[in-house]
Amino acid sequence: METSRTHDDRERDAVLEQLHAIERAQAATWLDHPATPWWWAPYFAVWSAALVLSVGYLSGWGSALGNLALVAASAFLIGYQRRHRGTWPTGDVPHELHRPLWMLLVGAVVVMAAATALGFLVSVWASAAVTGVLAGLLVWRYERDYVRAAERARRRLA
Amino acid sequence: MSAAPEAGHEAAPAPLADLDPVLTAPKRLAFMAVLASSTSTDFSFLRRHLGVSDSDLSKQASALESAGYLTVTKDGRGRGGTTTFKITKEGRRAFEQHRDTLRVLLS
Repeated sequence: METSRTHDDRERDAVLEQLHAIERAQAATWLDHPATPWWWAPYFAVWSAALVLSVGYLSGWGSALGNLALVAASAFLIGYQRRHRGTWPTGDVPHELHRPLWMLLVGAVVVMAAATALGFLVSVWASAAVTGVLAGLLVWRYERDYVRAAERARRRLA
Repeated sequence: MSAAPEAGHEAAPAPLADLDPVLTAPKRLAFMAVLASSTSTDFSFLRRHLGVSDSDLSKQASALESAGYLTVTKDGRGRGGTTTFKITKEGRRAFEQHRDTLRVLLS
């Protein structure tokens, strides 16, 4: 009887270990990657300011070409990230990362609202400058929070 | 007219046959779990995560590719070349069924 219970416990432990390994592996694409390069936040600052200028200052072909260049820059960034990390995560996000991701989303909406308001009320150049600074700070803060949250997730899954 | 299941009636345990023999190896299971949560993943990421040698990873990848669970893409040659893996629909189905069976076994 005792032997049978021990055997059942061992089987249960084996199944638990497999499920834990699955959870760890599925979270790995979100957690295990090299540090983001130093130029990440400045890149977004310049990109966001350029977007405001392209939309608000340029017109016609100039605006179209400007927007195209910004789309190309985004595509370059996605390609770089994919090569740099070696993976592109999808699916369930570890719960520790929910907060920084939501903060980024909310922050992006606030920056867009500020950019639009400044563009109409002050000037496009002022809007571009403020948007650049806010976007850079937002990305810097997001990266910092993400790293901390990822560390917590790694500890939980270790 | 079908009768509603009786209250307190327990579901039958999942048959062990639902466990995929290809995925019972821990390395292959973790390999598939990584692929299931990414659009694609390269060789070095998987080698790092699984903590295996190049030859071992290639062996596991071949087994999974033979089962139709992943596709392999090779870009470039030599040291600069990259090998990328992507899960197939069949692979995702097999992985999810295997994982769900483990959960049922546990419950």
